[in-house]
Amino acid sequence: MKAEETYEGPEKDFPKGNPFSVPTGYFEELPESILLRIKGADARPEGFPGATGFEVPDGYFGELPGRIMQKTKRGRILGLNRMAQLAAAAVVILATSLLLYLYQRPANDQIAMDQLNEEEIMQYLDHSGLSFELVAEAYGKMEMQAADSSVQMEQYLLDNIDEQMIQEEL
Amino acid sequence: MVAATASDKELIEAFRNTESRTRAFEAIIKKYQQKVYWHVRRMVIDHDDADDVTQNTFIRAWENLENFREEARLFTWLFRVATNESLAFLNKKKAALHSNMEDAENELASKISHGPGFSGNEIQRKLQLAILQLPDKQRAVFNMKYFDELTYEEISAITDTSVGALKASYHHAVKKIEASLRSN
Repeated sequence: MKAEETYEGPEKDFPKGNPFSVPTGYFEELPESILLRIKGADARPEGFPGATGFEVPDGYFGELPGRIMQKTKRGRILGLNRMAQLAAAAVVILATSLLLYLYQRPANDQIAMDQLNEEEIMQYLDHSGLSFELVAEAYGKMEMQAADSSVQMEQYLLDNIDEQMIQEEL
Repeated sequence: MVAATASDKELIEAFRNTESRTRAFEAIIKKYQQKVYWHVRRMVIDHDDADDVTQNTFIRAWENLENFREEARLFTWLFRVATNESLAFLNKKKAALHSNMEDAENELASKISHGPGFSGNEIQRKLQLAILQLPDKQRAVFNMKYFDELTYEEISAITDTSVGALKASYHHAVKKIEASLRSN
């Protein structure tokens, strides 16, 4: 649809030139710098001591495996406790959810469209592949004139989408 | 001889050949370095930081290009790596400074206001400062759409976000920038 492609928002007035600068000859030298780093990484002997200039205490690597193993064992015990806690929490949540569902379930299972919030509609839109227009129509929040274009429809929806939801989606 | 003007397919084929691997990669850098650098620069603002992140992006590409799936575009893939590297860099920087988001924004803003690598006019400076007020991911989306002029489909492939969410994000970014420009 041509109308959608030619739509211009307020950003048409923003300046578009590049205000940043780089040192002279930067892009001519960049490939060489990267390749030098790659070659350097490839040529570095495995486990070469002192290659980085850092030192370690005497016997450090002799003790390290044992200390790591101790931590993994402790981690495993903690892991089991954690799993038990999570399992207990899951049981409580399931039981609570079931009770809430039974008490708050509407007389019929059909949920009215006006009970849905924008987030639910956007999620549905994403998963169903439906157009903004169809969702807007179903949502019933727009009173479209017959002459209104899909651009205006989309604009309306974009204006009314929750900002927090967008950030979470990115 | 592999030239930077070769197609992505040719470059990747040459990269997979051990004999032409280094030359092919050099050609890939030459072909995409500016696009990648400027995308990164708009995110991290400072040239030295952008240089580091750009180099890291290509080194990451060197390490992973072997597994590159050819149904994706090389350019999209590089932008994806560059975006992730930039966001990771900004997060690390915030953590290293023990600063909150506002402090980090102020530091980047001072580079735009007083830094040596910024040669834009007053309107461009105001625009960049307004863009800085966006959350990092939304800033990346705005920059890719507005400055790099990528399509929503391309940005979707780069960020792994739905086109609908990107449209909404860009739309809100424009509104925020417009409000910021009006208030200053």
